[in-house]
Amino acid sequence: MDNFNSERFFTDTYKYLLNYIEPNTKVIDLGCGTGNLMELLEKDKNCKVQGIEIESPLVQKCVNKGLFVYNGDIMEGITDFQNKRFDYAVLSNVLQALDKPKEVLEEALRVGKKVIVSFPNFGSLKVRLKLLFSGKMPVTKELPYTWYDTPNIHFFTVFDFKDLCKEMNIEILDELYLTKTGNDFRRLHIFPNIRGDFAVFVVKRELPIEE
Amino acid sequence: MNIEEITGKKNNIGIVEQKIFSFEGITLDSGIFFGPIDVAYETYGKLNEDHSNAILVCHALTGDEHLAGYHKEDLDAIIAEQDPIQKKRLVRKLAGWWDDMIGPGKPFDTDKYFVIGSNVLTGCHGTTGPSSIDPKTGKPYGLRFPIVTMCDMVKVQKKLCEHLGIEKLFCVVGGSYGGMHVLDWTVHYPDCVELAIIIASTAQVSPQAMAFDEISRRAIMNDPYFNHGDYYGQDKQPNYGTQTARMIGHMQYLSPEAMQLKWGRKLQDKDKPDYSWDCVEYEVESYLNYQGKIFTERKFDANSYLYITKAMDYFDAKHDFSSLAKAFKATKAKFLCISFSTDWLFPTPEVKSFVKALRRAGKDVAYTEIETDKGHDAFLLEFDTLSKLVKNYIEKNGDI
Repeated sequence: MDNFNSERFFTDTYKYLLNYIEPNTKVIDLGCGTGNLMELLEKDKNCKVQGIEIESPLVQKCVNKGLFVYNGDIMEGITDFQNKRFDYAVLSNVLQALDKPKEVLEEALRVGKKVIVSFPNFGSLKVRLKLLFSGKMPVTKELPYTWYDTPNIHFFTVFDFKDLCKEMNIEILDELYLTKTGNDFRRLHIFPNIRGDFAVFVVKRELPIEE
Repeated sequence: MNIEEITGKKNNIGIVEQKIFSFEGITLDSGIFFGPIDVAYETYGKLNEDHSNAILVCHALTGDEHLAGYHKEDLDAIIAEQDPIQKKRLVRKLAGWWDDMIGPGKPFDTDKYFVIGSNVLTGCHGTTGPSSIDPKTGKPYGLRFPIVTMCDMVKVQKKLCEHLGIEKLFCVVGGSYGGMHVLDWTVHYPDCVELAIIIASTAQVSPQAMAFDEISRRAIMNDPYFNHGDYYGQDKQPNYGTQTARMIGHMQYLSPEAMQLKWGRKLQDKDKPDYSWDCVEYEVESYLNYQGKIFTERKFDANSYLYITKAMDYFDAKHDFSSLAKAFKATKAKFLCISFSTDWLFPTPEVKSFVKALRRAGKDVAYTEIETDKGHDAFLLEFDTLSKLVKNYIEKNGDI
């Protein structure tokens, strides 16, 4: 699987994620890839950033940038952190590639005061039409993989994600939808959740009060 | 003398010399005061005005303080050697053991940093050890030398740093056995390390590694010429045992994959086995025998091997604390930790266990596993990946 390509493609979404992050805060980037977002957070926002990434060559790129990243599974790496240790936990374009996305989301909500989740919208109109007319799993610019060779193993739509938030008692603080035109992602305002190729959610959940 | 012309090596640090620092001694972990102590060390580059650019390199099990460059007499030997193949061998053999990493423009850049190498307490390369003369008796200590721990060794390194006028080390780095020293530095001198680099090491030696250590020690102590450690000056030295110990070591440093690739089941220079005790049958036997032989040829002291492995077995970074995370709580150091995918001496899970403790303690830790088929030996073989990581880590995270 070609994580490098996909990361470059989605780098354009980072500016929208950055808008949600206050300067001088503590951030954990879960599935941080080559650390591009982490670098921006350090440079532009003066954040204190850590990352977790499973692919060794990607981690080594992070280390070569001077970043502090743990080489391992997200669930394995995140258990070392106390509750609400970070101002933000980021799941940038990663949830759909995880074995157990719900468990990771639970942990992200535990360690992060806010969680920023971004993902490709598998329910966009473009995808729906492709599936309807071709009868095959859609391959688009945002989802450039064939079904048998893709890092994305858990497809979901924005409606699915909202259902999950309801089920998990997650509060949605903000949401925005992007579409790729030319080389840039652009924010959508009209029927965004249906037209959007890519979604960004800011969510939070207080810790349950222990008895 | 032009080093590049003689050795063919670019950016070599050149001629270096061993120095000795002597002091009254230290109180050991075991409670007894031991001294006097000589420490053999070498330095490379210049200490800056505010003494903030010092890097301490902690050597591996049988390593020493000669990290880079050449000693004058060794260089003379290289110049005198006429046979080009032999010359090449000498150039490789007589250079410091981390020559590729230390020098002008190299990852540990001697134009910027002041690099220190020192031989561990109990060693046999100039630092006081069991082969040194006991001033009370006028004879070598032998097994009368006290048992020493990693903390004791680090205490001696600390004394050396103070002697050199260094309060805080910019970086402490070590692989394998040396990595344990680095961990000990951060636990016992939490304010004295800015950057720590630990490669293929552990915070606590596993029972399996301890078992191999004990087998190695038995091999030495059961050698017919061991003589309870008083073999100094004897015609016959406990070489069989020492060679066997070294063979066990080298087996641990190789991965099964590397052994398969290097030799497989290939016979040594023949098509069919001789079915005899009088010859070497397989290439793997030949390799281990060779490693054993050169180990005693370089006169590594058998007693030192006993003391050094013993210290390793006692090592447990959380020793004085209720948990590993608590042991690391006070340190101000930032960490780079590296494991090798096929290392079974200090495997990835062992490295991860102290990395996770560091993270629980809230430290800045970069951790990565390098994919390799070279096993524990990768420490000296995966040069490209390792040197890049180390160079970038110290450049980007240090204030120099």
